[in-house]
Amino acid sequence: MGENLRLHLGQHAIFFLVFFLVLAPLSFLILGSFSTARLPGDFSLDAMGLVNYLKVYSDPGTYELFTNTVIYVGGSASFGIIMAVSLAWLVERTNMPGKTLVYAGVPMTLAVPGMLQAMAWVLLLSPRIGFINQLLKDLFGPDAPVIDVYSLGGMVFIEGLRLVPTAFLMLVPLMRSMDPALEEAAAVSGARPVATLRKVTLRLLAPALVAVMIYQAMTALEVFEIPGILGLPAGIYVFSTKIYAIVRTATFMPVYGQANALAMVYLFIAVATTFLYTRMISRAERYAIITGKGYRPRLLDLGKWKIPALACALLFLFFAIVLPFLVFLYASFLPYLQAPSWNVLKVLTLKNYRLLAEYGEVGSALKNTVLMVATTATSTVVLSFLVSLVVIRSKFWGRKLLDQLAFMPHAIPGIVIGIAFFWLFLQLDFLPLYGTIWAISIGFTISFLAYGTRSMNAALLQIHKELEEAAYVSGAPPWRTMWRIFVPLMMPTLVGVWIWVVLHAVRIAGMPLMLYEGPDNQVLAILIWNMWDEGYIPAVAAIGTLLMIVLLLLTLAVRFLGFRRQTMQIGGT
Amino acid sequence: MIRIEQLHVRYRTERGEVHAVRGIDLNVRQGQFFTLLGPSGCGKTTTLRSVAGLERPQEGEIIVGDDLVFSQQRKISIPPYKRDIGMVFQSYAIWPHMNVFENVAFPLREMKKRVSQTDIRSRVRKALSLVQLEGLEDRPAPFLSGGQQQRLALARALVKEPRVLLLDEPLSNLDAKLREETRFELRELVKRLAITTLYVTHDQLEALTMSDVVAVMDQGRVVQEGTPLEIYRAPRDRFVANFIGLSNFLEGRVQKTGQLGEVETPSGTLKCVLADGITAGEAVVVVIRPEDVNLNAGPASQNENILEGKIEAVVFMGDTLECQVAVGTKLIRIKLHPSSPVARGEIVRLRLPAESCHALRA
Ligand SMILES: Nc1ncnc2c1ncn2[C@@H]1O[C@H](COP(=O)(O)OP(=O)(O)OP(=O)(O)O)[C@@H](O)[C@H]1O
Ligand SMILES: [Mg+2]
Repeated sequence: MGENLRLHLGQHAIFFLVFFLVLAPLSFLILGSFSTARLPGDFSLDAMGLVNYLKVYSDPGTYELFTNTVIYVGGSASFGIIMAVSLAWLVERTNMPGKTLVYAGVPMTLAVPGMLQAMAWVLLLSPRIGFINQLLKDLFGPDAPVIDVYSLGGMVFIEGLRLVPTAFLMLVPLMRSMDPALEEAAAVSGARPVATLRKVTLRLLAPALVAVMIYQAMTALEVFEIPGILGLPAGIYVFSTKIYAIVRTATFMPVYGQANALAMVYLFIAVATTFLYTRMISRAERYAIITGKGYRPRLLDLGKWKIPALACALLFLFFAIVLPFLVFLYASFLPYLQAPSWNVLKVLTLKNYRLLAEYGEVGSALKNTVLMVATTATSTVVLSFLVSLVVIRSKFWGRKLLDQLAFMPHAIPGIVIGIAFFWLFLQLDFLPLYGTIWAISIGFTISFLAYGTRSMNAALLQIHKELEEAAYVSGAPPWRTMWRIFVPLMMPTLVGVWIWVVLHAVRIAGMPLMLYEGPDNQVLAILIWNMWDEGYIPAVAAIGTLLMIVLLLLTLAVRFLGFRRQTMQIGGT
Repeated sequence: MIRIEQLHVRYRTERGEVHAVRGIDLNVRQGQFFTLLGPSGCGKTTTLRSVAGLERPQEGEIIVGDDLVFSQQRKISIPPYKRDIGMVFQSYAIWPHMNVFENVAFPLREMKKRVSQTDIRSRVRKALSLVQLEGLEDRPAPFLSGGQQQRLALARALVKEPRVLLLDEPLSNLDAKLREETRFELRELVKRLAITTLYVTHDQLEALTMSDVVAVMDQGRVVQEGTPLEIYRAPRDRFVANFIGLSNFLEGRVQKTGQLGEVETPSGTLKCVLADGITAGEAVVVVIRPEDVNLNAGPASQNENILEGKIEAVVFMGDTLECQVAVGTKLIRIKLHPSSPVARGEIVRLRLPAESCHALRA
């Protein structure tokens, strides 16, 4: 009986831990949005009202914010999807040469963090210092038109580039599994190729395409780094950056309650989109375009368009990974920022790398990052594993609710999780968490819990129930069964999730920026952000180059270790 | 050795409640080979799992050995890992991340009292030799054939020397030939070890050839319990008769009771054995097994029924010839030696010995 009681207590402990970690910050987010006190520390239930909402929604700037967000999200999602569909179609359904390169290269672009991608393009296309703009000026004189990356167009372009790999990985299996007989049937019915494409192929793909599109829109909506780097300097705000600006602007006295009020709408939109996505996915699955037969679709002969098609595909790879890397590599050897020329070759220096080694803040940020990333990955793996065990394998009364609680953070943008935990940690002042890397770890663990539990649920469902029961009748109590049966059988998934979390936690800046309080909890992403803000660009380039190399190696390692499924989902910022 | 009293198991599902086991009483004696037999979904597995502790019944009591392992009234429910049982699962549940040795050693390593390494080694070796898997200790479990996996699962269930062995359709994943061989091996092994065995199957041949006692289940209840011969020769009702082997059923009404009764059927009056407590005038079905019917032209003796009919169909089944004979409006199936000279359309006389005709309450 004692064993039973312990099992019971364990299940309740997991349930209430997740319950608290997910709902407590959200409650404070909601309460805070009604708080009329200026600072979260002064929060009291007596000072409540609708002031924040009135303030935020009577501001004409808020409508501009809506418009900007719609343009940015819609634009980048469309741009990204069009590119991804074209690439997937080229490699799956045509006889374009050099497919292997595209298959391998597109997922590799995930190794470039969004923040660094945006920074690289600033170095190329900033009106003042951008290498390309300077080149234009040299060629056409000082009045030549410049391409300004600090614009909605710039944000759409770069976020679009960033969305391609995930969409590509979602679309390739779809294209591959489409039964060519359906298209051939249209052809023998007298439809011309274009009509077949329009009336059959696209119709069949439509539900899945819409699902992919919504997924990409969710990602774009949530991302902070790209609108942060490209929009903030020009005063172009979208939801995520506006909330950041309200809380973290040095010039104004921050109005925390207003940030919360704004976050509520943001949260609402995100939740609605997630709901829509879940609905679309179930519909796409019902749509039977997958027949499961082992055929190879007939490939379209591109004829004289073969080489131009390959050139387009390579151009994407060049923009998405080669160019940013080269720009960073180049800038990291500069004594001060300047456009490429023959003269520069003479002044190239290793100073920036030497500086990194000597600069104390880099060392501490690196230590913090390693610690934070390792704790986050470990706690995410452990918590997801336990939650999934209860959800899939127990008869615990709250298992359905637990599953939903664990999935909920998926819909919450990182910046909103950040602000919610910010309130929570300030209220729980008896816990010395605020301003530590543990605060960031907890925030990340909650945001990655959805991914962790989805992977673990899927893996646990693969394990035959009798394998577990055989351990019980062999005399192993539940925790021994977990240790000796589930853990070893799940090892590939556990390791896969761990690496996935590491790859993500190391690059995301949005959530940590909300919980950042100084050198004690400065992590690499924040360090890069701050150094960029303060203009130490060659130093940023040096860190960025190293970071990209490490991430590239990790991504390659994941592929070679064979964690295919996880690699497919290395999305993130 | 195993006692089950008034066992009720209900499953709660989205679409209401499934009453899987509805008041089962069983008594398995020391060393007995006891089989639960019944069609798919009748609650055999549920009963077995309740004995193992993998399912929690709503009502009843279960005793394994001398231990009360479950009692609703006394609020006792011993978890499976504390029950003195060994179990073989339908899927065998061989852990794929362990080799053969580790699979068998697992129950020993989980024992309350620590077992020394040398003890583990010798006991595993003994268990493996019981099932003739010596020499495969280091083989990773996924590299075993179906038959080897089945034997490995058996070795794992036996290594602790439990007092009770539970088997859930352990032969259903083997091919036909191997299944036949294993049937006898398995019975021989558990008899040699004198271990009490509770066996679940939906295969009547397995049940009849292996068991000391068979309990036939239907819709969550035990409908008949007895030795294989009793079950086969004297099915208590139409369900059992139908489920065990192929049977002919003739509906009728009792005219005369006595040591041999008489039943009036549309095909004629039949002398037959009446089930207990059947009175004159009652509606009954007369059950006759196809192999008990003979073709004979000679005169009827005292205790025989003779029916006349026309052969409607002849099917060659390899070891027998199955005929369908129309007697009045009824088709009666009979089994003949494959060389019997019969042809479609022929008029024949069927000889039905009275002691093979069982009248059951309809
Ligand atoms: N976990 C469960 N949840 C709901 N209903 C269940 C569950 N397990 C079994 N049942 C139902 O209980 C009834 C008895 O199931 P059980 O598995 O005991 O049948 P069985 O006799 O072993 O059949 P089979 O020969 O097919 O294995 C069936 O109607 C089944 O659908
Ligand atoms: Mg069963």
